[in-house]
Amino acid sequence: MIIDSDRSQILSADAQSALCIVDSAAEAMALRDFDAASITIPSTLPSELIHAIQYEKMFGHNLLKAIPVSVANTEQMILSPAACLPVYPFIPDLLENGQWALTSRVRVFRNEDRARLSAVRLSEFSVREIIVIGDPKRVRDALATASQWAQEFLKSLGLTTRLVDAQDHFSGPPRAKFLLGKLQMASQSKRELIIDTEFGALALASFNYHSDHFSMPFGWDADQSVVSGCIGFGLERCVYALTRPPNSIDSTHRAGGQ
Amino acid sequence: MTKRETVRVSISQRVAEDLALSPEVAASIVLADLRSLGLDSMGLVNLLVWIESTFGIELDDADLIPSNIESVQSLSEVVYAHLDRRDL
Repeated sequence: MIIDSDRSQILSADAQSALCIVDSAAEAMALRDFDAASITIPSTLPSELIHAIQYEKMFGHNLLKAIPVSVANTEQMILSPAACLPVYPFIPDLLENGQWALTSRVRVFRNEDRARLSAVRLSEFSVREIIVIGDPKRVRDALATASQWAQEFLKSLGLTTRLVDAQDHFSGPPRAKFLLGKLQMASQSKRELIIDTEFGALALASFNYHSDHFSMPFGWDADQSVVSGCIGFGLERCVYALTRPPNSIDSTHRAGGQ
Repeated sequence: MTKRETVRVSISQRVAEDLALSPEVAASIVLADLRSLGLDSMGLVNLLVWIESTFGIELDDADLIPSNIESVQSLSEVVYAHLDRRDL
């Protein structure tokens, strides 16, 4: 596999096949276990949506601006820094006839520090995303089901993973960042499936419980009982884990979660 | 007013101010669930940062479990416990 750690990557045929295997298996699980609807999620979203969920306050460092979508539309567009963000305003329109899950393969963009870029920390990458909506128990159960499936699936491919509580990399003043991280850990709202590599602990998939973070601002929690969660498989990271050379060492990089 | 009451009133007034509630309702929100009142994650973090600087304490992992941060009452008890330990 050849990876240009600046912006893009070129995958060998074997790596491309590995990516498709992981992606297809995760999609099939979402369709089978959650009766998910397959959708296409765009890679840009309006800045208005970013403001509505206060994303820039918590993760402003991730954002990359895109050009407006047309001459007439001068609203700033943002390259989506998380696979699921563009769908939340439209959840009531996307879920029909009792459906409660969505899945898509999405291109995600983050404004990573160039010095931190590596084969496993890219500024654009692909994610197989699964979004689940429902009461808190249903969403928590779905995250647990998906994490168990992922662990067994990756084991079948020869990867031994660990499921750990995790936290995001937040923006803001140091104490606020610290407290946000502690609150996230205490509420067990983020778990990651990790492997140990020469880059350090590498997250291959994450399982996120949002509570009402999205349902409240977008108005689909009328009785305050509807929450959301998402599952993301970092496809290039899975490919890296499956195809990495056995003795490659690069101690200058540390990967961590995406 | 006892120290415990002072802490509770200070925090309830701050929450009322953050949520643009009238000062008169501050006393009535002491037991209310903060999320139900409309306090989101960022609002909670800002409140915790204010608590640390106002009362001169540093919250630790054990303080931040969900049951400790669900209401003005529970937060006040956490703060009071810190102050009580400090004053021993």
